[in-house]
Amino acid sequence: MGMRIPFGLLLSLPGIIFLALLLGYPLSILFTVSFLRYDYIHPITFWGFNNYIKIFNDRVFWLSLKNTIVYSGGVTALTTFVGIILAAAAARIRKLSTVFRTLLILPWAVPLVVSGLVWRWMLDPGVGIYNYLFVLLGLTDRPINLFGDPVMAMITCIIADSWTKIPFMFVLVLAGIKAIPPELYEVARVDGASMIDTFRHITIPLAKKSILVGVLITSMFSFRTIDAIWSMTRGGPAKATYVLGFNLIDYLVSYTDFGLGCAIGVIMLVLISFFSGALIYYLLRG
Amino acid sequence: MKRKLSRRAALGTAGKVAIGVIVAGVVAGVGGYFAGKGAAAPPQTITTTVTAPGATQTVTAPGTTVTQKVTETVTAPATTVTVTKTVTATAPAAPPRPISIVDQWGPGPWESINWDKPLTWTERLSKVEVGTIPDHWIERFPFLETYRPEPVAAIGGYVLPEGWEKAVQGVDKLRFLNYGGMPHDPATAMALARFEDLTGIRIEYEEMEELTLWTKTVSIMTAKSDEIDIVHHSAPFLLASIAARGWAMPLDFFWPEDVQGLYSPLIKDLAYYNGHWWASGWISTKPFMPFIRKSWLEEATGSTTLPTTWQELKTVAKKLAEYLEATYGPGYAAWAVPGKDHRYMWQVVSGPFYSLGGKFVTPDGKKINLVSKESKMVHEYFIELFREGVIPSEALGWSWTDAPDLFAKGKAGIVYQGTVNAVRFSNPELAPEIQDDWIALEPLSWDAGYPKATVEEASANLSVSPFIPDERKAAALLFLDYYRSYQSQWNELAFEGNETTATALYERPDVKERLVAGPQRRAAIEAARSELLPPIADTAQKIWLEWFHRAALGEVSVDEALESAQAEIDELQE
Repeated sequence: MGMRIPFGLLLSLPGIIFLALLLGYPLSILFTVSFLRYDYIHPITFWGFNNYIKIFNDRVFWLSLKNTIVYSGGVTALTTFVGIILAAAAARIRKLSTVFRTLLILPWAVPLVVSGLVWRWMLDPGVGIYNYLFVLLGLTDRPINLFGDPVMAMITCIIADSWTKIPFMFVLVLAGIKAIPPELYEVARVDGASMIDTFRHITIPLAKKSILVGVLITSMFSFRTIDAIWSMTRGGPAKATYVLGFNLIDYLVSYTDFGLGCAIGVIMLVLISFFSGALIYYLLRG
Repeated sequence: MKRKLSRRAALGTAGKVAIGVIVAGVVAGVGGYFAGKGAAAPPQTITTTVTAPGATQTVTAPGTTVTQKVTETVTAPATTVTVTKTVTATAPAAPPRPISIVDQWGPGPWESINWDKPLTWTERLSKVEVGTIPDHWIERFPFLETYRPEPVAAIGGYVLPEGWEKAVQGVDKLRFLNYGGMPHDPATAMALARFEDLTGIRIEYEEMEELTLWTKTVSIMTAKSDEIDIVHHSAPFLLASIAARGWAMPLDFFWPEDVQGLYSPLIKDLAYYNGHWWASGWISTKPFMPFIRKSWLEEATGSTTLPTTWQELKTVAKKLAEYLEATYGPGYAAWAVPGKDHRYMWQVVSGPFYSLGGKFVTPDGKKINLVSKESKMVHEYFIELFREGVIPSEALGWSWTDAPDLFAKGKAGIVYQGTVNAVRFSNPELAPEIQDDWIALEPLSWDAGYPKATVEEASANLSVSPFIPDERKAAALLFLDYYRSYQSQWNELAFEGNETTATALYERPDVKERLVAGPQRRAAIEAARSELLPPIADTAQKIWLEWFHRAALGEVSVDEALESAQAEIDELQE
């Protein structure tokens, strides 16, 4: 008797093949090359764990990992905070709500590199509009040095990146808030709950899944992206905004060492998978 | 012809013929001088044979080779004699070519090319014809009409070598990547147009920002793709990388001694690595040149005396910083530098470094050395300026375009960057705040007693990709030959505003009348120095920049910065 293949598996086969080609093949190359000496100068040879050892002994790798965690954490936090506030506010708007939502979503259409360039010019100490206004309004007596200061440079990059991701979080959280039965708010109001109380005890808990999905996706994207940083600071000053993505590109393009570059890629994949896996587990368990 | 002449008439006629012969000789000599100018051929003897009725005159004059036919009418009282003088000369034979293309590239379609026919290689490269830009060039590149007040450029001169058609059979296009937008590279645009006129081969291009272009080039070359035919790269930083990785065809046959003689020795700094030639072309040769605000200099220092040394410039810069703070408040920089770009900031530091006689590359050309005495001196120079606020810390976030941009906007007092900025600063639309209020300085010396020197910004080389079919290699080679021609380099120099290693062009009247800050630019190209950096250059400069920033921010001392950077670079250099 022949083995019966489950019908569901058969139907899933095209998708599985597609995923295998789209993901499996590149990933297998990534893993394979990470164990090779592949620098376009020496012959390609099996290199074992030497690439990983070199990376873990590299000061710049740890610096970039630290910066990546700060950057990704900052972008996720800012995006989540502003996204939730905007979603909660937009949920209460009755008139012209569509107009407001459309306006709030617009930054989502801006490529990150463009966002970086735009913020770069707006925040420039010499010719930027923000510094001009800060001085004009008396908020500061001299332009704020945003790109020559390591801490301020990181903050500006976080702002530029978050600005394009906030609409996404806004849409997700708004959808979550809209799914909350309005009777809950009525009951709470009758019981004398304030706006902050209803926000804390009804909105946030019941929209938690949407928020966590937004956090997951935002953190994954910001962990690996360099677009805004590229156009603003190029990883400086003094590598203050030098994230893992830059490290990977430098290995690939400056060193032309594909073995090292792929090893960095594997490390990033493992880190993102670990974090997102934990978050997904928490989501599913909840 | 058998009619008798009186003695007086004969003497008068002979005298007039003699005058005509002398005039012809002078014309031949002067014409030959300009025709052969720039060529390295030794002086030749011209023998002028004049045939007149009943008389033969021979005049010998020194000069380079020329072939002319001159017809002149000599009129004597009651006598009209038409004299046809034929001036003939022998074109010099091409010098022996020690290496041929077949020696390096093997057999292929390029064998049909005779580089020394119909003219010698140097003659083919050194002719220039200036005229109005053709309409079809403007149709393809509309910005050519408005880039300069008059659409006049070098529209002819270069002569293709014999046998080129057979070598490029079937090739109808070539591809390359261009640094930046083509509207900023009108000389390149004209080169594409003229090459198409000559060969029928259309050159397609993609415009890219500099660092992205290198990333794209790496991806194409590692894939061994034939997506580009001509590899466009920044000479000092990337040639060694390209050559070491086998991403360019060798070009020793392309650079015989006489052809090298058409250009300044800088070409060897830019195109020769590890015993071989790899590149040609030179788009946008740009030595660095200091620019300074005239009025601010006078108001800050009380003098109009221009600094001639880096030490004097530092003194001026410090006074400028005090003056700007007191007069204009915050938001103005005494000195703007491209602190964000590892390559350009490296060049800024290299200028005074070369005057000190320093070298960043070890004598074997393989390693980078940051810890020499000269390196420490120049780093202390710039770090001091950063820490005192003369160069603001914001400069660590300025790109190579930001620094001159700030100067053009009237926000900076000094900028040290490419000579091409002279064209920009003189344009009232691009630099309205500083019109007639800036001056370019000649190359500076470190201090009294040191030689003047400046740094070559980043001449862009052209190389031939090894991953393309043979006919396209031959076609790419023709384009490289064209691009280094005096015709093409005339456009770089006199139209676009870059410099050129074809220094003979600076002597042309039609160039002199078009150059902004001409004498300073000539001085800059003559004092320009460069070093071909080893394959790890790009990485090493990024490491260096991080430590430079740390020192500028006061996190580490200069010594610690240089030693730390050197230690990390040495790990790569093992």
